[in-house]
Amino acid sequence: MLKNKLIRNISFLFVIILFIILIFLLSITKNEDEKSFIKGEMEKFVFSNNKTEDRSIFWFDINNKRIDLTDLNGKVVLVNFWASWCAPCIEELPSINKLSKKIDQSKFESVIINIDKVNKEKSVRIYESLRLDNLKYFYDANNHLVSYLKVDVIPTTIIYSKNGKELGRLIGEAEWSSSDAVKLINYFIK
Amino acid sequence: MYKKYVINKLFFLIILFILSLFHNQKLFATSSEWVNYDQGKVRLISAKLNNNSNFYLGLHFIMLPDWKTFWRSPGEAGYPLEFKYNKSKNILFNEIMWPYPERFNFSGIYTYGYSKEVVLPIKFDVIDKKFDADISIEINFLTCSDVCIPKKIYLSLPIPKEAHGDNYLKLNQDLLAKYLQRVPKRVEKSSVNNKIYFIPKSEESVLKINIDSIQGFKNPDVFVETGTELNFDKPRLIFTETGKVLEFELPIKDIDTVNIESLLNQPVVVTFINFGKAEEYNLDVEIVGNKHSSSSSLWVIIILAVAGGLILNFMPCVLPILTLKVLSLLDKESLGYNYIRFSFFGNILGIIFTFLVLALLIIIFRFLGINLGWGFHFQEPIFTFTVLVIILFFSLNLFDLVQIKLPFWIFSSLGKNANQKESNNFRFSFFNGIFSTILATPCTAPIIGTTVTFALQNSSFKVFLIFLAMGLGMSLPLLVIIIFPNLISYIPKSGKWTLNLKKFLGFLLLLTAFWLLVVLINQIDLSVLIILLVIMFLIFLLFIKNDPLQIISRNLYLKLIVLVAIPLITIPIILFSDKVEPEKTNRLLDLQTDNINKYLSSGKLVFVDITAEWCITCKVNKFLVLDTNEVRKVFENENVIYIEIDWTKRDSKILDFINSFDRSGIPLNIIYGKFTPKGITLPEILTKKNLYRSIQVAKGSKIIVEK
Repeated sequence: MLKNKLIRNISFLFVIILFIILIFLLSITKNEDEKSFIKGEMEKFVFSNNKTEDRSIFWFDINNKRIDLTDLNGKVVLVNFWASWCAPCIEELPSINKLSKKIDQSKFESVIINIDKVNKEKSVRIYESLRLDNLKYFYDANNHLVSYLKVDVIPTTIIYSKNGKELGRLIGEAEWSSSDAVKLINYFIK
Repeated sequence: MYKKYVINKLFFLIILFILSLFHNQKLFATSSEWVNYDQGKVRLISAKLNNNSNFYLGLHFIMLPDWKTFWRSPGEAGYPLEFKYNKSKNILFNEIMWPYPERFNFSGIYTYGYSKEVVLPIKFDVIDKKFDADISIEINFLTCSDVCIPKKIYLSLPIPKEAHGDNYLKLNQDLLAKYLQRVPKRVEKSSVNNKIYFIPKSEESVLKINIDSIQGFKNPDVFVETGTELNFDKPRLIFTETGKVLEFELPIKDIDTVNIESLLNQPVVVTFINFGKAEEYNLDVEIVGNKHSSSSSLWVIIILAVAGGLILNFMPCVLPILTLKVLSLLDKESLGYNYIRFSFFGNILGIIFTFLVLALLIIIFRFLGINLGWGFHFQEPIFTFTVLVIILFFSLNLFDLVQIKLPFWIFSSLGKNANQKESNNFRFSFFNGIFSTILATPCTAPIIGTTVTFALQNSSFKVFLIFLAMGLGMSLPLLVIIIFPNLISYIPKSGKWTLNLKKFLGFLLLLTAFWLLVVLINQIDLSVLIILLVIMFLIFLLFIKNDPLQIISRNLYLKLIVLVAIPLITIPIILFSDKVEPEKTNRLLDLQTDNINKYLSSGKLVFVDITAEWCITCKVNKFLVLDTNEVRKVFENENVIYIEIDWTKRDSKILDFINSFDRSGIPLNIIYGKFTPKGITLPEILTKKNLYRSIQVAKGSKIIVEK
């Protein structure tokens, strides 16, 4: 009787362990799936381990109105940090503008955030001269967000899930209008 | 491992101690430790130069490949290094002395800075030499490759009081001297002849920099700091003929209202690099209204003149005449190639003769102080009318409605009478040449426009030369036939196709006549014109093929016409001799600076279109660009005031105005804006694109440079 119970317990444990292994294996294969998108232009994209929702991510629009990431829940959000002094960033912005046109706007939002500390007007002028018709001007007040997110290199682009979790980031410049980027975003939307 | 390290360090300290004994306590650090950051390393070095009592501090950077940091003017992106010295003791700092930079191109975005290695020297002084001093600074700088990383680094270096002696810090002298040499030497404006100009152009506005150098040039480069947010492309280097003045052209990337204003209001700093050294000048920017740098050489202009002349052959008003010439010779192969050659030779002489007469007229009138524009003869109604009559007759002839029975010199070469003598053949061809040239002038091709402009600005000799070249260009197709007369035999024998072709050409001429009629309506009273036309048709009746006037004797009819015509012709001459049109003059007066400025200061743009009924290119511009709904809407949205000036009739004021833009003829379109207060001219052939671009330039708004 006692022996029976032990066997039952052991087999129960065994099943649980098996189940865990199965999940682990699944997650590995899923990761491999993810990695298949990480090629070409998106080569530098690194997935994040952080799977919790982050509630303290916010920035400001040109009228100093605060916008929270949570306002955009339900959409995959691409957040790109740029500055007027960063040539690679300025070069990259038009490709983000193109990307935002290629993907269903009810499911995806591109946010570009300027991190200039001084001479914000210059950054607005650069933004205007680039004619990014699908992107609004946002800024990071006092570099709160970049220091909170530990962004010390720009351009850096972070992608957030529909429920505001960081999915991963790409440090450096990328061609965001490429098919690789579209595939990556569509993968996150699904 | 650790032990070994300690022993090593101990050993090092002992050696140091022994050395310091020998050196009379003069051994101290001349440089700080390297501070490593991911993309390079930085340290402080210090030195005192032999011939100089100043102390120099150097920020010594060694950067990994591809990483760079920025100059005091970073260009389109980046920011320069800043340092804070609050924690330093007993030290007085000067500004950073910036060695001249390199130019980096990041997909068309130009930045200026340093790569690999650089020392940024800073002059400093010890306040109280009796005490030790301490340098302790914080530097904030940006380092970029394909990403940018802002950096903040603390550096410190003690300066003991023993260092104040003259033997201080010889160790770093060479390194510092090397970079001090690259710091631009300031040269006063008064001691140089260098100039900088702002040249607004519709295609691309530039800063032009002229730099004198007696010693010649080696790897010259130039950087301009404007204190504005204007950005520049890479400078284009133009050596002048003498080789002693260097001309740089610095294309301005995006024209911006505020920026151009401040560009013109404050001096710019020009850093000029030559032989690996640099000088800098404070120069005032001079605005150059619309003068073209007419550096184009005479040879280029002559080639253009020949090309322009060639193109004239294909103008709608000239094409029929020359085609008919060829057709007329089709059936004359039997007369031998020499006959054909002779005939074409006459044509060529006629063309060249006319061009030379035109040149002569221009020169004579110039001596008399009267400037004649290109196509001036079409401003004379009598001339226009005569040409109209001839063309119309010509056209009716081609439709086989009228026939020439009198030896009417111009048309005879059509070959209705095959039995002309050789001399006649030559004479007729000669007049044919004259006639086609005269007809060609109003169809000013854009190439002709530039060449004539050039010609009119130059010496009489050059005017002749250029007009001769145009004449030769126009004769080129004929010359080919003179050399290879058998080419004519490749054209099929005349038959039904020639008749049809003639009808088609007749139609073209009819159109030309219609155009001349429109010109005339603008030049003289409608009633006068109608009278003239009636007389013309009465005369035409004389030549009608199936003569309806058999009843009246031809001579009587002729006398009747002369009786009626003479008073009728004299009336209009009296009428339009004193005809003044105050309205148009007023419009031109509007252009006098006061009024223009009034418009401009209220933020409006002024677009001036000088046109004439006889100017075909103007018509084309109107049809394709100016009169389209799209352009009208743009004019409305951009607050453009459209002023049309009609030059169909001669007007010396208008001509003076045209000449003030270095043009001699029309089409001439000018746009005035806040940033182009003197106006900029648009190309002769307008396109929507160049029009919009020049609106942007005049407005001073940003222009996107499309990749």
